[in-house]
Amino acid sequence: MHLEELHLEKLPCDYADVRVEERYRSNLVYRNFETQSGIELQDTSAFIRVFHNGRWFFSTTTDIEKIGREIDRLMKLSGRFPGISSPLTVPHATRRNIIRCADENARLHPLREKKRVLESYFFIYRKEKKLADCTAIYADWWIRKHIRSSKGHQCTYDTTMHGLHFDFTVKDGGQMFRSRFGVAYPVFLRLSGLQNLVSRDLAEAKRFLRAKTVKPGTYPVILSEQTAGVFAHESFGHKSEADFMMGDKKMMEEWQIGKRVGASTLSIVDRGNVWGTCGYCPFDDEGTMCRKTYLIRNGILEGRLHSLETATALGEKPTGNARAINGQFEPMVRMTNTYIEAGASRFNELLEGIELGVYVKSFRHGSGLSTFTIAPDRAYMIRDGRLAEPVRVAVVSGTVFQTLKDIDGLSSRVRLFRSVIGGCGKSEQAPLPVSFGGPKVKVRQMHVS
Amino acid sequence: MERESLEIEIVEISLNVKNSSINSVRRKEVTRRAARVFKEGSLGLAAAQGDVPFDDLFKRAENALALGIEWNYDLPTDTVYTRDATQGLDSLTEDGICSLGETVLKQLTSRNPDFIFSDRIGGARKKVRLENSKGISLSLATQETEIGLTFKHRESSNIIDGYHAAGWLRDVNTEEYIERYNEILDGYRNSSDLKSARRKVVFLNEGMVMAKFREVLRGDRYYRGASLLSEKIGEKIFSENFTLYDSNDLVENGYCSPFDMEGVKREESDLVLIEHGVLRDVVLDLRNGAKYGRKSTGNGYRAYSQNPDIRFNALRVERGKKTLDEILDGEEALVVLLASGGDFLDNGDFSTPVQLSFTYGNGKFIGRAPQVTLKSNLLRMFGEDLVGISCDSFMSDRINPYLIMEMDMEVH
Repeated sequence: MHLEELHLEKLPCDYADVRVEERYRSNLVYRNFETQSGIELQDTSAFIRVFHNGRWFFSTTTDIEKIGREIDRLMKLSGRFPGISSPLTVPHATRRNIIRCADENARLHPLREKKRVLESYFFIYRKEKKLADCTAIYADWWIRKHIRSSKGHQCTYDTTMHGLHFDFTVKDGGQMFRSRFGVAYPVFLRLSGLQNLVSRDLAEAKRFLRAKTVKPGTYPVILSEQTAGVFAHESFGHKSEADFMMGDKKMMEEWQIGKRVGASTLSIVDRGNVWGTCGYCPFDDEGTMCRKTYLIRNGILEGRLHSLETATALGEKPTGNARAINGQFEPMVRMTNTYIEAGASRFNELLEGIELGVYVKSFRHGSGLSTFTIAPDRAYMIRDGRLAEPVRVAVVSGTVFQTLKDIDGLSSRVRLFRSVIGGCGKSEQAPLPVSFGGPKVKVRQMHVS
Repeated sequence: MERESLEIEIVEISLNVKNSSINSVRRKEVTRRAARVFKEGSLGLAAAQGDVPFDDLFKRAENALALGIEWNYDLPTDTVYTRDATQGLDSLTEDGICSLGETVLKQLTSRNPDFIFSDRIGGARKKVRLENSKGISLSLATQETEIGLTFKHRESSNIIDGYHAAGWLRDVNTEEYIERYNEILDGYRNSSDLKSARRKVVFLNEGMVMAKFREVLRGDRYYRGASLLSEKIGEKIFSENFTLYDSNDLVENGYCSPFDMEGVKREESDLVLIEHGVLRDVVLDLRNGAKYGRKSTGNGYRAYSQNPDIRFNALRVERGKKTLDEILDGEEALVVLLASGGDFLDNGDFSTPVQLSFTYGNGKFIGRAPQVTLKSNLLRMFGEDLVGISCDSFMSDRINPYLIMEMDMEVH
């Protein structure tokens, strides 16, 4: 079935759209250097939405020929729920095709070549006498999305990513340290020739075997580019998702545009149209063009993230942040690539003046509720303005607004973090590929335990 | 050459709840199929979503043999088993789930107009069929209903203030779900003062404190020396009162998986992992069982598109003889509803911020506690600091009872 044959604009409903996703994925899993799994998957699915009388009706199918049948079913279902017509505001119908990876994508590389690349790093771990356990993963994806709506959207784009991930445990006597190393690139060839990087990472991990658990307390903290990104994502990004504000007067009062919420040096951005990132999407899953959205600019609340529905409800413009994890789920307001903009300091300048503090270099996971958290993978003590010994930290946490105000230094280089493992979770939909990052960020105090 | 086929059919109806009303209705019908072939020490895997014929998948699986995924264990044989856990249940329909959602939301919002409820209510019917050329023919049908609603006080500036969820494979007990929800909200409306101290702590959702067991009791990590408990089978490590099972058939408590995704159906539903504090066993799949000279414990699970890996069933703690209130004997405790973002370190040290907890005494939530951080260590939490394990639980059909443990609590 061609999507053009659907004639969605003629449906007697307030809005309808169809998103068809073609997906290729492959992965290889090794446990302690023995192949455990390897597969290539390719499928197509369609997600159909009808909005009528203020309520959504969704269906999904892996049989593209049945899209018409599913639309009919949803139209009948919507008739069972009477209500008041409430059209979505669709300011602009996107009619664009952005195909960027026709010549370089995950489908074009045979699985045996991916296997060869992953195995080219095994000798580094194999020769390590302190290695107790190692899981090695290769994963990639290529996705092409087609979106058509009753308001005239006709757009298609594609994206791809390839990555390696090592989850390993080193052990010495009774001491153990579990850590991870990963890289991801839109260009497959970039995964080769990283042996020095992997070796240095493993050598650093071994230093943590002798690390002590941090003395719990409040410390000045410097977040690396990667962990600053987690902070931006967890502490503020989720709170900028406008679906949390629909019908909630208190939240609208608390989150008034123009309110000062952070240090004057702080700007946090969400931007989907950054090629080569995990959150790349030139338009979202409703066909809205993605753009650079300042959530905070110079410490002032400037924007929030929207779908068509939340933008209509709040009387604001859609931002291109309606995303679904795959073709079997409805889009909801999600981040794309979220980052803190650069400052002007060097790392040494951030360290200066910290008598006793903690540097959080990498993370295992993060969360963002009233208290945001970062569970560090690797962290170091800061003593007398210099990086000191490795330290074991279970969690770094803080309250969002206090921490935003406590930021008192940003380094000058922004880096975005990519991974083919994990992603963002919200409600039932996880993991959604996103990128996040920032400069190194100095915070006057955070709780470390 | 040996062959194995797996088919998973899912019909799911899900309501998205926003601002205390039903915002969307979604129906999802998905068929997932996988084929594996085993030949001369290698296995090949192919999988697809949709109505892809098994003949095609087996051809693709044979082509995948060239990838060289090692196969060095015996496949299970000669077991025919069919289980239909949906018998007697109403069929899954949009009308039925919408009616359930409307009932729950009406009752919650009419009694608690000062709160906003969001997230998801839904049901899913799932059929799993696994067959192999060695005489394995297994099938399972289940139907799960789940209510998971966040709450937020209308005067709160948080995204959410808390969450209460329940799932059922048999009769849906909305009455108890709403009663417990009301108790939580009543507790939320009051506030309690606390000072940093060592306190008795109860986790209403024990998943976080049990999470480390899902790592340290993995057979592969255990036998490679990469577990905190390696080489300790037979040793007494935890409290005399602590007995832990991997349980695969608890249909009345919302969990039913009597065979694993390799076709292993173990004889007993309960696998004893820790018995009165003594480490008794770890869990294994076929590959790791063969590698370490053991049998699979029936813990080889996989997504349809993967080969199996070790995964736990329900981790079930043996119930004690006293109720929570009898164990506390009039003393106050901190009851944790929402603790997100904490973790265990490799040495077992544990720390977590607590986003929502209550002081509890005399059978009720007294008031909402300030934000705290809890600290302990796995060996202490289930050892010397384990105050008691109750015979009752927060919801009558929950798998696990209350675990009461002393922990260091720091008030922020």
